[in-house]
Amino acid sequence: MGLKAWSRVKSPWIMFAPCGGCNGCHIEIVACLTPRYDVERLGIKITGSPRQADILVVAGHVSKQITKALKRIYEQIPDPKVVVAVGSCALTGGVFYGEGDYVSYGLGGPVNKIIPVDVYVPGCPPKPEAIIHGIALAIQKLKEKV
Amino acid sequence: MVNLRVLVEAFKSLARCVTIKYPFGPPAYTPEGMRGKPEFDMEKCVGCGGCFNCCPPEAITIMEEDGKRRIEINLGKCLYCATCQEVCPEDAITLTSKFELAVYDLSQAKETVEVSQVKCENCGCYFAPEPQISKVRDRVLSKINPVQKETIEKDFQVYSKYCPTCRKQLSFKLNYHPRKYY
Amino acid sequence: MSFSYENLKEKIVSRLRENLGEDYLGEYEGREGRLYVNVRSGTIKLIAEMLKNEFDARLVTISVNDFGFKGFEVLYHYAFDYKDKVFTKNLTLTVKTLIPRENPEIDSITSIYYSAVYAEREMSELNGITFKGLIDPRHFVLPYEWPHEVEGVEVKKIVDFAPEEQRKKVGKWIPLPVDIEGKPELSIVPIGPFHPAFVEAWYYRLKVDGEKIIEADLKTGFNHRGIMKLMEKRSYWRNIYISERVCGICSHTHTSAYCRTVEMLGNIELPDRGRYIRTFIKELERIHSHLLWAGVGMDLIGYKTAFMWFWRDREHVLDIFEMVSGNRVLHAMNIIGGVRRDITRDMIPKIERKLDIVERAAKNYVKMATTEPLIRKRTVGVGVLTKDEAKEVGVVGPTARASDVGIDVRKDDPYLAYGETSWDMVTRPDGDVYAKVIVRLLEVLQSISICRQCLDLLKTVGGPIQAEVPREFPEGEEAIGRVEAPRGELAYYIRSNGTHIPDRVRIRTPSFLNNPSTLYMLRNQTIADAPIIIASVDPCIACTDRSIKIVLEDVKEKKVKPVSFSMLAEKSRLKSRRM
Repeated sequence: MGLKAWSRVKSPWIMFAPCGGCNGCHIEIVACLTPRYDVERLGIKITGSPRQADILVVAGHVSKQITKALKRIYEQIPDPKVVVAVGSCALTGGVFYGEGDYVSYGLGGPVNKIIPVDVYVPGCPPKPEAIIHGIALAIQKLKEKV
Repeated sequence: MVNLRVLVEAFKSLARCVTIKYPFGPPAYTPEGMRGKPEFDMEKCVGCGGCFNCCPPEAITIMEEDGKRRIEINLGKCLYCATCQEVCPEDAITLTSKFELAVYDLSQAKETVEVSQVKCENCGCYFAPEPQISKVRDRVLSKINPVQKETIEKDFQVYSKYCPTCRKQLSFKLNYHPRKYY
Repeated sequence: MSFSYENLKEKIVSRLRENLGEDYLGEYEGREGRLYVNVRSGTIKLIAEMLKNEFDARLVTISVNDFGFKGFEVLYHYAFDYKDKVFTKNLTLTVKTLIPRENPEIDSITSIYYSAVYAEREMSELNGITFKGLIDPRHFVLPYEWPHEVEGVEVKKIVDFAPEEQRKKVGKWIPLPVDIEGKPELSIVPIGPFHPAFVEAWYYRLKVDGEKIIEADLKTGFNHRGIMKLMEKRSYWRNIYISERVCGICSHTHTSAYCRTVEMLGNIELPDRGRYIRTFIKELERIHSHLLWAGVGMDLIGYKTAFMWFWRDREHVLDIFEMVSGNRVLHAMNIIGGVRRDITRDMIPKIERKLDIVERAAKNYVKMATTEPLIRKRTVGVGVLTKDEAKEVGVVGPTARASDVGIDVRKDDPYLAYGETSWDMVTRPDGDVYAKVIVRLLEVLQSISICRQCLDLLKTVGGPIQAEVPREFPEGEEAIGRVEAPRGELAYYIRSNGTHIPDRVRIRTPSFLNNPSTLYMLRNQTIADAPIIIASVDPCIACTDRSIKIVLEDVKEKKVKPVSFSMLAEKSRLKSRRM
C-alpha cells in the first residue's frame, strides 16, 4: 500500500445524511461521538461537506421529496467511496412499507433503489457498538477499492 | 483566564476513564432480557405459524415446497419487538443478546427453520407438519384414562396418515366415528 | 375575565344557545366529561370569536372525518386552561359541523387563532376543503408529483371515479414574495435541507440586511410518511408499533397517548402497578430528552465540552431503560390495558444508584448554567417571545412556561399517577433563550423526584400489570386523549366503527404549534444567533410531517382510494357486496 492509500484507510472522514425517519437511528449515530463510545480515537471525523468525505452514512426512510438531494450528494463525493445504510427503514422501508399490495405513498423507496449500497446494518435502532462494527466492515471495503 | 470547572472535570476523568474499548474489548452493557437477534430452536418449533400472524411489520414469511414448510425471518425488516417470543406456544423463538449483524449482501440477513410435513396416502397432499402430530399424540396419551389408552393409540396410528377430507370420505372403511369411544 | 370553573359546561351551552338560536343543533357528553356540540357550518367564525373573548379558550387542533356521500365533518377542539386552578378535570369542547361533498367550503379562523394556520393548510391539501380567507394558502406536505404520479398509475384511469374539481393540484412550494429589486443591500440566505448543524432535514429562508434578519420563512414536508393513512389499515394492537416510530426521542409518550385514547374508547381501567410503571418510564424519558436537548444547544453555542458532559450523564438513563425494557431507544413497554414487562425487586437498588448519579450531575448543571459567563452572554436577551405573542401563536410546553404562561397537561387534566405524587410546575417571566434553558434543567430535578416516589409506591403495591381488553370496539364512539410530551401537549383523536380496525386517527404533535413561533422570534436578530433560536423551541421535525386519510367516494357506489389501482378494485367489490 502506498502512503496515500495507507493514510486514507487509517483516518476515514464520514458524512452523515439524515433522510427523514423517526430520529432513533440519528441519535444513536451521534451517540458514537460521545465520551463512552468515542470513535475519534479510531481516527474517524465527521465533516459537513461531501467533497471531503470517504464514507457516506445514510439513515432513515427516504421520502419522495428528498431523493433528488440525496442523489446530488452521492454524485459530489469523490471516488473511492463507500455507502453504509443504517436501520430497518433504510434497508427495506421497515414498518412504514405497508402490507400486501399497499405501499405508503410518502416513501421514495429503500436506499438501494436510489444509490448503490455497500454495507447494511440491521437493527431498530442498532446499538452504537453495532454501528461501529458496520463502519469497521466499511473500512475493509475501502481498503479493497483504493 | 482558565475555566476552573473544566480543569476539575478533566482531572476527574483522568482518574476514572469513561470510554470503553469496544472493538478491542468487551461491549458496554448487555443485561439479560436485552432484545437482540431472534433465533429459532430447531427441536421445539412445530411450524404452527403463530409468529407469522402476529408480526407487526410482516417480517416473517412461510413457504411450502417439496413437502417441507420453511419459516423465515427477514432481519432487515424486523423491529426486534419480541412479540413472536411472547406468542409462540412452544418457546421456540428467543431474542438473544447478539447485535453484530452487519452484512455486505442483504439476502444473507435472515434466520430460517424447516419443518417436514406429512403426506396423505390417499390424495397425496401435504396437510400438516409432522412435529405437530407427534406432540398432540404425546400430550393426549399422557393425560387420558389408561383403560382407553391402547385403543386410542392404535386408532391414532391409522388416522394420522390421511388428511381431514380423505378421513371423511373413507370414514366407513376406517371405522371412524366418535361414538365408539362412549 | 373573572368566572369560576364550576359550572363551565352549563355556561357555555347557554351562551351558545343564546347567540346561535336556530343554528344550534344539540349537544352530548362523551367519555371522561368531554363535551360535543353540533352546529351549522355558517356560524364557525362567530363561535370562535365568542370563545376567545368571553371564555379565553385555546385551540387544540382541527380534524376532519370523511363520511362518503354524506359529506365532510369538520371538528374544532378547544381547551380552557389559561387560568390558575387546583386539581380538577379540565373541560375539552368539540364543535362539529357538516359540509356537503359537492361544494366543500368553510370559513377560516386564522384571523382569530393564528395556531390554526398549519392545521388548515394540511386539511385543504389532503382533503380538498377550501378555507375562505386562509392567511397562507401554500403547499405543505405532499410530494410534488401528487396526483399525477401516484404509484405509477395515470390520472386518466382514476378520473372516472372522482370529479376533477375534487382533486386539488399540488404545485411546487413558492417562497413568500420578496421585493429586493431596487434594494441591493438585501439578500436571501437559505439554510437546509442538509446542514451540518441540524440532525434533521428542513428548509429555512432568511431575508437579511447585512447581518440582521428581517423576515424568515419555513418549509417542512421532507419527512412525510403517510402515517395516519397507514394506521387505518391495521388493527388497534398493531398500530402501537407505528405510533411508537413517529418520533424516536418521545416514543413512549406517543404510545401512552394512543393507549390512553383507546382505553377511553373501551372504558378500560388500568391496574395500579401498570400505572406506576408507565409514569416511571415517562418521567425517565423526559429527563433523557431534556439532557439531549441541552447538549445540542450547547453545541450550537460553541461550548462543545458541555455537549460531551450532558451526553455522558445521559448514558446512565439509557442503561436503566435497557435493564427494564430491553432496548435503549424505542422501548416497547406499552400495550392497551397495561405494560408488558415488570420491575422486579432486585432491579430497584440498581436503579436508585443510577438515579443518584444523575441527580448530582443535574444540580451541578443548574449551577453551571446560572453562573457561566459564556452561556449567559449568548442566551440572555436573545430571541424574546412576550406573553401576548405566546398566547396569540398558541405555543405549548416549556416554550410557553418560559414566557409566563402556565399550562401543563399533568396539572390541568391529571392522568396516570400525577394526581398521587407531589411536584411543582416551573415557570419563568422573561421569555428569552436563557429562560428556556433554566426551565428545562429545573424540570429534570422535578422529574427525578417523581421517579423516586413511583419507586416507593411500587415497593408496596402488588397485583397484575395488564387488564382484560376486548378485541372490537363499539361503533360510532370517539375519544380525545391529551398527554404531556417533553415538548408540550400531544393530542390524539380516534374514532371507531365496530370492527378491530380504527376508522380515523388524527395526531397533533406539539412541534406543530411551536415551530411557527420561531418566525416571530427571528426578527431583528443576527444570522449567527439563528441556529440557537431555532433550536430553543426543541423542534422535532419527525413529529410535524405525518398525514391524514384521503378517501374520495363517488355517489355512484364506487369507492376510490387514489393510491393504488388494486386497492380500488378491492374496495369496489366490498362496497357492492355490502349494498
